[in-house]
Amino acid sequence: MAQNIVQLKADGPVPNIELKFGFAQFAKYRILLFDKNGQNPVEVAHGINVDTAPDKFPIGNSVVALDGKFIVWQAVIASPTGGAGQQFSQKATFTQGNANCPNGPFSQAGPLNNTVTTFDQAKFEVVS
Amino acid sequence: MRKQTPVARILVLLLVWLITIFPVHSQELVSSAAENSRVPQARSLRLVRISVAADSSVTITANVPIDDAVSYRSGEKFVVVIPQAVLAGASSDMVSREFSSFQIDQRGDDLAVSFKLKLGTVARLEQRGAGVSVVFSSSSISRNMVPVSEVRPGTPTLDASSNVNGNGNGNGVTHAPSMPLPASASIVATSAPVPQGTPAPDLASILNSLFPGASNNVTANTTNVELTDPESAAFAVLGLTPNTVLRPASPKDFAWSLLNGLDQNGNFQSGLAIDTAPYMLFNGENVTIRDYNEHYLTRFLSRTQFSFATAKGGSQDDTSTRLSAGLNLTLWDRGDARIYHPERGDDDVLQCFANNLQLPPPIAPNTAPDVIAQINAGNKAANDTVADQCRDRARKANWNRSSWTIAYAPSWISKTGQTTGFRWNGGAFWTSLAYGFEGISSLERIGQLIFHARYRTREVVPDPVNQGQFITQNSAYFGTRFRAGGTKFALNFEDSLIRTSVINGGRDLINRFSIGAEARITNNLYFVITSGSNTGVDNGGNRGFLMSSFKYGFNKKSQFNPQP
Repeated sequence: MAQNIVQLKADGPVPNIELKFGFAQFAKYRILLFDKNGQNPVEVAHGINVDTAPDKFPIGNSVVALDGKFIVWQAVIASPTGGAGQQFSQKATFTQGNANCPNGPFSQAGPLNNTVTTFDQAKFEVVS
Repeated sequence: MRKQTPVARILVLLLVWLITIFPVHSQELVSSAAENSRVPQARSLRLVRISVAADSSVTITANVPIDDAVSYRSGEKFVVVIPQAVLAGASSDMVSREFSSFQIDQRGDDLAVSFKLKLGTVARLEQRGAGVSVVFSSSSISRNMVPVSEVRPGTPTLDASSNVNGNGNGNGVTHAPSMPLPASASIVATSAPVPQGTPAPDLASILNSLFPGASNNVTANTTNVELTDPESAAFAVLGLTPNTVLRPASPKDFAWSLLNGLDQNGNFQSGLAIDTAPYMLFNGENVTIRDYNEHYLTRFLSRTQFSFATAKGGSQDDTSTRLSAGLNLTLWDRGDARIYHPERGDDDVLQCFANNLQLPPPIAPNTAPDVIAQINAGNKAANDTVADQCRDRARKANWNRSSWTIAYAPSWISKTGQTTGFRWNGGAFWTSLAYGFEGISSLERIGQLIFHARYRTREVVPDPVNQGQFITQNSAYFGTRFRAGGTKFALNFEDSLIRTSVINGGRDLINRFSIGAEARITNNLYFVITSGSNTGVDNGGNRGFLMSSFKYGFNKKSQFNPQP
């Protein structure tokens, strides 16, 4: 699997991650931040996409501290109506301030048969 | 639970009273000024006998004429469906060169006989006297279908012994001609040893035999009209219902299928059908469920379905090509599964998902892809079961929510089959408004009221007077249904007004009414009472009629339980 790289500006604000799920499907998700060795996960956020809370979350407290760390997002996507022929899509967008981070967003899509469990990850790279 | 006991007692008392005042039970009480032959009536289950002759022809006869059988080709199978029938006997004394096996299935009240054809063989259905024959030949012969005649009225005389053969679950008994049945040895489920899969007489049949006149499968289908908009308007206006069209499962962002079946007049049709929700097809990735909840326009567009169908006659006698488009609009739906109602708890599918679907354990970055796939697959398997349970629970809890849908479908026809010859061929408009009594605590979980209207122009239907001929008519329909109840007690009321106007012909105005009630006595035993009537004016007011009926009986399955 090719490594997703999120480039962050060292002098910018802390980045945000926003998850969007298309085709009006339900999703339950979790976002984890791992250290540079891929260990010691810390939960950034978890939630569902149907409540009123936005699915956009700040990551960490310092941009510089994110350099080399990994972020992982996992989701369970389910069709409210069931049945065959459905689709799902998932998009993770990283922003720093009002600007999208380079290389993003990161998407997955495909047919949805009842439920699907997704996993994706990215590595932060701080540039000056 | 305790509240239902008095209801059951009342019904038993009512039963005793009915036995007293109705010495001849289950008979049709017909009081007609002039009985209208155009009004289809509930009919008894016919006792069908099937005989395979030495020349491979198959003869199907019954105790009353079979004039409404239909047939179709499904893959390598040729299927004959006889409505309102059960198998009384079958015999075979040959080894067929035309089909490798045949199978008899009881599909509810209908009997289906399917023949697995050998390579290069075609079959057709022919009317032979009071019965029908299946004739087999080589594939060079045209696959004409005999036009299906209209369901003709008959005097319902439900026979208590007539239904014990059906298992009702579609599991058939396969008879291989290579192992022929003894000549003239019929399979009679009521008395003969049952060869395979036929159940013993059930409690409902026994009780019906104890109470003179009690009927099996009592239904209040006097109106017998579906009060919802067609799922695919384009198919409906061509007379190609989902029963006769191979269609993908719904919902469909984009789905297409080849038509291969019979139209409502029994003519073989082939063509192409497309069914799509265009907004979701082209913009689905950008439609989040939050947008869907917050914006009516997003909901409206997401649920707007467009269908397109073409059908071409499959015989030399029918060279026409028909074309139709259909538009289904859901204007309002309080039972929409995608609308979030956290206050309903697990009765709301989204809240149930939120409460019960489980994320997999945290997966570290740089985990091997096959390990991730394995973890996610295990998680999906567990969640699939939970998701199904959530949908099932929500469906039961929200079955009667209010909604309003409309549909429109124009159609065109080219009698020569050429694209330059398309002409207007009428259209149809439907609308259904359902009210779920939200806010009325005594009814909001158990009752539903449906209003349905439709207008159809230039509809070609079988001529009820001249068999084998067709007439063109415009029709308007207004129907109302109230149904209430649950698994233990159910009530159904239907009333409809149908106005038909034959082009260059007469007009009919018919009112159909039915009412029925049902109480569950045990898990597989229901007591049912129904009554219905047809009143109207036929032929532009020249003839009036009134037909009424009353039936009661014990059923194995619920007839009226409105909840899914």
